[in-house]
Amino acid sequence: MSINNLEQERLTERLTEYIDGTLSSEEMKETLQWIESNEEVKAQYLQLKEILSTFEVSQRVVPSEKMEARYEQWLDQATAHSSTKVISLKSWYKIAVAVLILLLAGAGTMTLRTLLKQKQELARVQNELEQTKQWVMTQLNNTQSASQRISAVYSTEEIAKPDLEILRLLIKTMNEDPSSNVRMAALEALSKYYSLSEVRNAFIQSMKFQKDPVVQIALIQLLVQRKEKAILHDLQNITVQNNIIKAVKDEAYKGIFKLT
Amino acid sequence: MQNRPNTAVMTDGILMQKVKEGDLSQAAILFHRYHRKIYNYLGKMSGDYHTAEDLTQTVFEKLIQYRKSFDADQNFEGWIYRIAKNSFIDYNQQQKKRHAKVEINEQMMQVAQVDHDIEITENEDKIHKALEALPVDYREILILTRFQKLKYQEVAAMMNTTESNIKIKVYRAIEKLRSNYFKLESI
Repeated sequence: MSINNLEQERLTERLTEYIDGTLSSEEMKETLQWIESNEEVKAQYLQLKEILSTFEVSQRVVPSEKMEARYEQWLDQATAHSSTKVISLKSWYKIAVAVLILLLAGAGTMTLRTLLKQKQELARVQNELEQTKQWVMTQLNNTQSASQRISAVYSTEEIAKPDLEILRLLIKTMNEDPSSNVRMAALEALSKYYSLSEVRNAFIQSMKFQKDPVVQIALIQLLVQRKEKAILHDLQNITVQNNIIKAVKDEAYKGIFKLT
Repeated sequence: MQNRPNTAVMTDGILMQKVKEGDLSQAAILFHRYHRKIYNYLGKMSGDYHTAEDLTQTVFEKLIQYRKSFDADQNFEGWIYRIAKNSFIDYNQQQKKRHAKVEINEQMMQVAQVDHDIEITENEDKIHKALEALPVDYREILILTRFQKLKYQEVAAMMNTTESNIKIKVYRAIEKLRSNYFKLESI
């Protein structure tokens, strides 16, 4: 039996699936019979088997260690270059604060007019902070872009003392945001305020219903690091639930071991 | 930072988002996670691991250069492979400009260069040559699915196409690889 082009494509597909073992047992049997009864099919099967096994075992080359050092060196230069060119929001506030300190230091010798200017400057900075807060809140509620929500989460670092409203929004983001990346960013931002009881309780509560494995693992690591024995029961629950992946269960076991 | 979660559980997306926000140092973690994969991908694409080393550096430099184009909703691995593919294509075009355009034929396949610093078996040598003789798209699809073991679904997302389209291309590429490989045997 000769094989035309279309049949050739289907034959390659079938034989590859046979070699990969992805066919049903019925199809495996059928294909084996086909191989055994047709010399041309058998020849192609043997050729495919040879090239696929050679291809897949062909060496995975280990790059030299100097590659990583070379990139890190380049990155250091890029970082230095970038920090001289870009003044981030964070840097802007630092500059503003520095200017204010200088102004305050010289207050003793200043005229009333200068003092008034200082007051205006302080009001302006406060106003900027309030605007940042409003921007963060709007962006965190932006359902369209995960990227913008992550930017908003990071911007909370610019606010020296986020108020309860911002913290609650971050907690909501950590628990409910549809994107894992945004939830993880919120967890990281919140971890700086662990000493606040509202935040600490939020982490402990989140353990009970968090379903994202990446966030679950980060939560376990954080709470175990803070020696929160209150989560022992939740950790034990995790280890017995069927729908939880092994990596999370392993982290829970490690946590139980460290806390007991 | 105090109480910062372990970077081992920081997703690639989050790290890349930090790079995008200006924290370039996080790119070192991404380099550590991905440079072996990218290096091997480029080594197989170009058939030359010295070139692959330089191209890998270029890919991660472009990660910084094009950081603003990363979207947190997209898969980082797909994004970095796209940069790697484009870097390879740019390199290929520069090479073509440098040398006269030569059609890949049996004679070229016979003299195709692989990196002789790497010890390889005769069959592996033939596979490298047969692979180099494939069109770039077929070569890439085979490297990603059969060597890097990415799922059809992941490759489809990376290439903005459907899973069934990738599947068809994989089998066509395998068929072409088989034909190239056994042509070499008969030379």
